[in-house]
Amino acid sequence: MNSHERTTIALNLGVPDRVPVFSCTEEQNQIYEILGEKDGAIPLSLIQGGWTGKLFKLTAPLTNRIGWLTRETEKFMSKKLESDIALGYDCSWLMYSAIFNLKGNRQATDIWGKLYDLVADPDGNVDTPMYRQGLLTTPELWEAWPHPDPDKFYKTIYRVFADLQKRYGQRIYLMGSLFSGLWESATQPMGLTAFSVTLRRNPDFVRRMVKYYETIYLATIHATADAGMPAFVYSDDMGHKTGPQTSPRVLDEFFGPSLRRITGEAHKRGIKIIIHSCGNVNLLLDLFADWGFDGVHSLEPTAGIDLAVVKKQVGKKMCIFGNMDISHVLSEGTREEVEAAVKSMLQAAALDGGFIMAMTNSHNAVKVENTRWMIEYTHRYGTYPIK
Amino acid sequence: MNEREAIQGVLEAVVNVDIDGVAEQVRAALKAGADPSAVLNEGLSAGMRIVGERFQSGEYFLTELVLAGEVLKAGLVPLETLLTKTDIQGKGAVVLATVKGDIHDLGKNLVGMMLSSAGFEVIDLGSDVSSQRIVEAVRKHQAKIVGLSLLLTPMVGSLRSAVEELTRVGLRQQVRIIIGGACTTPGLAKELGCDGHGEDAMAAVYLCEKFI
Repeated sequence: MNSHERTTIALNLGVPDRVPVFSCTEEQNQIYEILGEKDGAIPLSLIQGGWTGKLFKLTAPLTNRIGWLTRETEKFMSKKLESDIALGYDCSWLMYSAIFNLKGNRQATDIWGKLYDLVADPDGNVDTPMYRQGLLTTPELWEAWPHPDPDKFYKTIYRVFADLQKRYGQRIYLMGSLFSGLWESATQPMGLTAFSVTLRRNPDFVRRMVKYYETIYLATIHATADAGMPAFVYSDDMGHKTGPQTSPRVLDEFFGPSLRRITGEAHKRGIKIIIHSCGNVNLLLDLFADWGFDGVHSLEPTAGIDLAVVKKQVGKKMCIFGNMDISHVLSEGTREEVEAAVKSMLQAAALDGGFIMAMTNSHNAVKVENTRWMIEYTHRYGTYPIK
Repeated sequence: MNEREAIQGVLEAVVNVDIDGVAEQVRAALKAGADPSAVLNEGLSAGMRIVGERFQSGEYFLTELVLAGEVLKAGLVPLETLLTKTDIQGKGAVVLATVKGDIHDLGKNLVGMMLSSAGFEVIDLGSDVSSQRIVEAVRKHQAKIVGLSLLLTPMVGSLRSAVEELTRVGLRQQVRIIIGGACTTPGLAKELGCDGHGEDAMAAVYLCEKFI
């Protein structure tokens, strides 16, 4: 079987020749190390240090206008896929993340109204910007924000995804994605506190806001399908360390209708749709299935997720992706620890198919060597029938 | 309505996260003759404790917890000029910080909110805080407890540095150090020589109350 056949069968809850392996890596330090192009990474000092730093600070509006960061991010998406293919992944989460604008040379904003700090990875390269706060703390500020037009957004996503699908789609199973989902888009631009107050005082505004993000997602789903990609990862962190950020009832009432339309549209267009959520989502698993998702990813062991329990609870409804630990096993673990983790996960969730091996998140602390071991041991022990 | 019933109304407004009704309940309690410190302790703070317990038991979620923080603020407005410093800061100072290199502060802010409502004086140093600043704050406020938060595994080194710095300057025996955050565990607390690990904001309150 090739990567496409293997991934497709697992997503359909079947038993392929072996367990596929999914990449969610988007860290410069790892991607350029895998490609042997360490000089290719953009150091944060280029943006913040010396004369170039001063230049970036002074010319941030111009830099945004000419789309420098957007172009660099789109180029990086190619590099990510090249490294995923080089490492031997079967399928890849391709997040469209060219959504940032520099705010001076220390911070960035995104198109949704969130403020981030620019931070470095351990090698000093620009890392994924770190969310600091929302800029749209009231309904009035949200209404006044220049939100992206869904039709224009479709064109941008289609252009990028179609190009990447054409160049890499035969060699790896691509899953389009967009940063970020309805819950995050509703809560983070406002900040969780302002959102919680608004949810109490002005629920109709929350519904209107969610409806807008739904149109963006529907446009993105169509762009993904038109680009020829077979799947989509809906990324929306609804959990925190010990549980969901809000109640399943609120999620279903305010977000469920939109999510059902999004998954419905994906299925109409013939693409699979997988939900990614960090945190403890034990209380949300049945909802994920009910909303129509074909797979579920992250399933962080550090947030109290037991893979065997998840498999038993929703394994007949959704393909299970995950839950390789990054807090220790992939960042500091020995070869033996990686081997033991792979074997344990396969026993917990892969015996009757419908399972895709994946680390829980992209993180700059993950070691490439450990990632290679994860793939190697999945190939060794994940060949069906699994003993 | 007698003052006991009025204070119960304040408590229920907090428990029901009634952001638009709590101030009115506080005013009604004062009008009924309730002592401002009783309104604070038996109404607002007691209500926050119940909210925290409901969060810990899974009945309430983060959205209710942060909303309760806003309810508390709204309820404190009519009391501001009536409370003495002792009424507000009865249990001593706790220094809170997200460690150097980490800017995630939601969990720490929730801990601060719950500790404040439980009667602690919270010295919140914010996020990305150096060991030096933590030491300075402990000295300045004579804090007996330091709460350190981190989300990310690469920042464990910063946590270790903070513990080492408190030890190096001779403050370690005077303070209890508790940790929390996504990548923290009781095992990590033990490994670094900390005094406790809080799984969530309410657990942090219980730890601090145990240590005073």
